[in-house]
Formats: sequence, structure tokens, C-alpha cells
Amino acid sequence: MKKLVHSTHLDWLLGEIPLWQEKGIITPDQAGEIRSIYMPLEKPSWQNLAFYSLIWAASILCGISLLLLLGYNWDFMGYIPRLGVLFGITIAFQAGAFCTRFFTDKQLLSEILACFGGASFGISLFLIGQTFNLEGSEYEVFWWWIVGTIPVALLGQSPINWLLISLLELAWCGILADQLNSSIWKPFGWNSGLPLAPYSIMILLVPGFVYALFKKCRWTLVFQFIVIAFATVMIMVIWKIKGPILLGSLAMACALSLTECSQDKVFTSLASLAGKIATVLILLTFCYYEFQKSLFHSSNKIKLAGLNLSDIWPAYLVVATTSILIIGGFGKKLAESRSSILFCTILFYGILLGLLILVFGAKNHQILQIISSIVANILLLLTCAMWMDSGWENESIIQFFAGAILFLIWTFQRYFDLFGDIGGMLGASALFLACALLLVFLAFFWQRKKRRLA
Amino acid sequence: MNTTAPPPWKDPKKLGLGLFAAFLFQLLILSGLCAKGLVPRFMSTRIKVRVTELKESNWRKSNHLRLDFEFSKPPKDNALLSENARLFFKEVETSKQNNSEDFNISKPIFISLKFLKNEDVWVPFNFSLEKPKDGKFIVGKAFRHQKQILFGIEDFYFREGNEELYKQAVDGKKLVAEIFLAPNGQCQIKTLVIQK
Repeated sequence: MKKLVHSTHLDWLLGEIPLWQEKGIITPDQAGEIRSIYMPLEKPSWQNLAFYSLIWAASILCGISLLLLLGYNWDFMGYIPRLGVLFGITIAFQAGAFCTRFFTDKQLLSEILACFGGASFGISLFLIGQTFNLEGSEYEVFWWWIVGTIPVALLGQSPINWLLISLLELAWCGILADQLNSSIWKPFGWNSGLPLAPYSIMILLVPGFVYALFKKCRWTLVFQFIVIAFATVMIMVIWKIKGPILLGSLAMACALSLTECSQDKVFTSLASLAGKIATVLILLTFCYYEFQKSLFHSSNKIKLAGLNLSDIWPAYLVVATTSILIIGGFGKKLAESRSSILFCTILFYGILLGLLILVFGAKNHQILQIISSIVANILLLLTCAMWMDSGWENESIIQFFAGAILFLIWTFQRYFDLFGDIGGMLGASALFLACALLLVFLAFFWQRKKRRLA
Repeated sequence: MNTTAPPPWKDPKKLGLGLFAAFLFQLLILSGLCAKGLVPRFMSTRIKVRVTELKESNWRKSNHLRLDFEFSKPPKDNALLSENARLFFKEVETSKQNNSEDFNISKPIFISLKFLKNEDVWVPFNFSLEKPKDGKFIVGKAFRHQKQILFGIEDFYFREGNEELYKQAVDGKKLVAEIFLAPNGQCQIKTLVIQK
């Protein structure tokens, strides 16, 4: 059986053998024997990495499904076993992260375990609050979750944990906009007299920037900038600045239009990325059933976060249309590109909604809500599939993972959307299980496709 | 050979110690939250108060309810209000009419309770801005912007499927909350009980 060695080592060895032969150190037969002992270790292709990532994501969803099942029976447990479970899981992940980092030197595994530990820590915060029926809002829990996770990310020097923190910060900003109007920031109960959102978020962002700059970690820097952008929009929403979504989407539209004529590659890719984010945000918003309900409320004076529907609706159309032009690759790419699926469906969605609103006015709300939600959900899933497929074909790991992460976000969004209304906790558990199975199916589907092509 | 010590952020030992401290910090936060929940269980007496209204939470639709109690709103009967409380609630009315800006300002309000033996519940009999000298009392926050008094026991997480039972019980005035009441008037909700 041949011995597997890293290809760089084998290259060196094969390069040296002729020299040894030349100097008479070894005979040609011996050289042949040496060559026959070794074979190159196949580089782990990124497709393999993607395959295992999908399996990893599926296992997370399975874990959540199991947790929900546990949650369904939560009331049968007394508070001491509950606390035991919560502390036990958190400590197990932390110990795993610590040991793998310092005793086995497996940095990536340690980061992943620390990330799970952070997730477990946050879930425990919520569940302890529930166990004792403690007074508090989600934004407070998220705040403590972020504060507790920052030191781990900073000292563990882990981009994965910074991603988790950025997601928490995004959620925190969103909840602030949803729950609070000009509330006062009270860290540790002390009345600072300052408006909550802007000051607190800036302080929470500082460690991330410090880490990104010192460690020259581009990804952490990108995450932090995304949070700043989102926080800015949310602060505008909290303070009810007239038409921020309209302005934001118009600015986005201008940036996107410029990508078609710009020769600057960096600018083009950045603006294209912004366009993709804008489209996804719009689709995610429209997927959310509560948003649909508030949008199609029976009153003609529809308001969302202080904005009139008339402000939001054109903004949606502008962003959607411009994004279609960019992502769909208007004209030249339309016939050949896979993204034409997205183009057609978004177009269909826009036209459908526009027509429905014109025809029905504000009379038949429920049908509109359901149709609109279903179409938006299908579109978002298509976007996920398209990104993953395109990433797989073009060997673009970022595009593939963007699709996978978007799918996970969609799954969690459905959890909040459906939970309580349809299926309850068991329904949510089944949803996560179904999504996990779908990911496993996709992983094997692409793996087989790869083998066929090979 | 001249070897220099690595900076702290590159020294594995120091990083290990730091990471360990960071994990401990997370556990400390969790323990603090547990202490907040556990302390009233050992330091307080358990009483029952009547729930008058259930409100569904709009954001987390899961297993959460907002509760209103007999003392969550200022009483319509002025005889139950002490002079200072009456003036305060009158001011609330005025500030509402004037659309006053200082709506976030709150004042502690003390509600004295008396026990109704035949119903096995404690009911309010006096609202005051001054701490009562004796007897059981509960302390809440009265806000200028609303005629609502908050006690920190309004959030309740229930077992899925029980919502309808609670709604029926509250309609029949048979829903009571079991709460831990500390000597200083602070309280924490334990559970909801449907009276027979």
C-alpha cells in the first residue's frame, strides 16, 4: 500500500531524486522503488468542504429540532434539571473549544465549538428568563448575549465568532427598531440619558473593529461594516426619519445602475454585492408573514415604523427592478444565464403584486398576504439554490456559502413566522428536521453530480 | 541566543487564560440571571393575586403572555388612593393632554394588600407614593405617559396548549397568579393557577 504524502513534499522529493542519482547516492532501481512508495495526498477539494459544510448545517438544524422537542417537554422538568441542562450544554461546548484549541491545536474545530458555546449561552439566557418568568425584553437579552460573546471572539481570535456577533448585532438593531421608540440607554440599570440605539451599538462595534484592524481580518471588517450600515438604517427608522427606506433604496439603485457602466472592478463587485444584499433583504422582508399583514392592513393609511406605504412600495419596486437588471444580467445574459430564473420570478412577483394591488385594492387582504408570502418564499429559496448551484459550478466558495447561509436565515425566519400560528413547537421541530433533510439531500445530490462529471 | 517573549495576544498561555476567563464571564452572566430568578424563591413569601387580563405578545407569538392584575391600573374608586397618588394620577391626565415630552419618567408606587380568606387571594386596598409602615405591600412603577403600573411580573411563559384554558379562566375571573413577594415589595411571578 502506498504511503500518502502532501503533494508539496512529494514534488520536492521527486525533484531531488534525479540529483541523488546523478551524484551516485542511489541507483535508478532504488529511485524507482522510492517513487513507488509514495503517492500524493489529494488536496481536499472545496466541493468536499462544501459537502461537509452542508452536513454540518444539517446537523445544526437536527440539533435545534431536538432542542425544540426537549422544549416541548420543558414544563415537565423542574427548574434545577432545566438549569443543569442549560449550564451542562454551555460548559460542554466551552470545554470542547478550550481543549481542542490548547491540547490538540485544532483551531477551526475550536472556533466552531466556541461558536456553539456562544449560541448555547444565548439560548440559555432566554430559557433561564423563561424558567423564572423574569421581566425583560429581547433587546436586553441580545445585548447581554453580545456582551458575553465579544470576549470569547476577541481572545479566541475567531472570525466565526465575529460572524455570530455581527448576526446578533443585526438582530439587536432590528428588535430595537421593532420594540422601541427613542428609549433611553440604561447600561447596568444606570440611566445614561442617551438614546439607546446609536451609542450602545457604536460601543459594541469597537472591539470588532479593533480585532479586525490588529489581526488584519477582512471578513470581520466586512461584518462590522454591514452592521453599521444596518444600524444606521434602523436608527433612522427608530427616529422616524421620513422615508429612509426610500432614500436608501434609491441610493442603492443609483449604485447598482453605475455598475453596468463602470470599468472599475472593485467598485463593480462592491455595488453588485450591495445589490444582492438589497434584493435579499427585500425578499426576506416580504417573506415575513407579519410584514405582509401590516402591509395589507385594512386601513388605507398603512404605516410601518412611521412610514407610509406609499414610501415603502415605490422603494421596493425600485430596488427589485434595479436588482433584477444587475443580478439577472439584463439583455445579454438573459438568454444564457441561470440567473434568468431569478429574473423571471422576481419580475413575475413584482408584476403579480402590482396587479393584485391595483385590482383588489385593499379589500381581499388575506389572499394577497398568502400569495405574496408564498411567492416571496419561493423566490428566496430559488435565490439560495441558484447561488449554491452557481457557486458549485464556478467553484466560488463565497457564492456557495452565501446561498447556504441565506437558506439557514430563511429557515430561522420561518421558525419565527410560523411558530405559534401553525404547528407550534412540534411544527417548528418538524420544519427544522425537513430543512436538515433537504440539506443532506442537496449535499448528496451535488456530490453525485461531481462524481458523474469526474 | 536572544529570544524575546511574545506579546500577550500571541502568547498561547496568556491567550488560554484569557479565553478561560471569557468562558467564565459567560457563566457568570448566566449565574447572575439565575440568582435574579432564584433569590426571591428563598427570601420571599408566596401569595396569590387575581389576574384580570391576558394580552398576547405580538412579536414573540410563541408561549408568552402579558398579564394585567387588579392593581395594574389606578383604581376608579378614589377612596383607594392616598392623596399623593391621587395628585400624581391627575398629573398623568394633564401631561397626556399637554402631550408632555417627559413621558418616560416613572415613580415608585406602593400598593397595600389585604387577604380575602374565602377566595384565597390578596387584593389591593390602598395606592400610595409613600412606603407603608406595616402590612403586605407590592411596589410598582407608575409612568407619566400611561395609566399603567408595572411590577415586573407581567411576563409569563406558559406550556403550549394551555392558552385557551387561561383565557377561559380569566373570563370567569378564576385565574390567579402565584407570586413571590419580598418584604420590600419586590415580586416575581411563579405560576398561574386556575381556581376551582
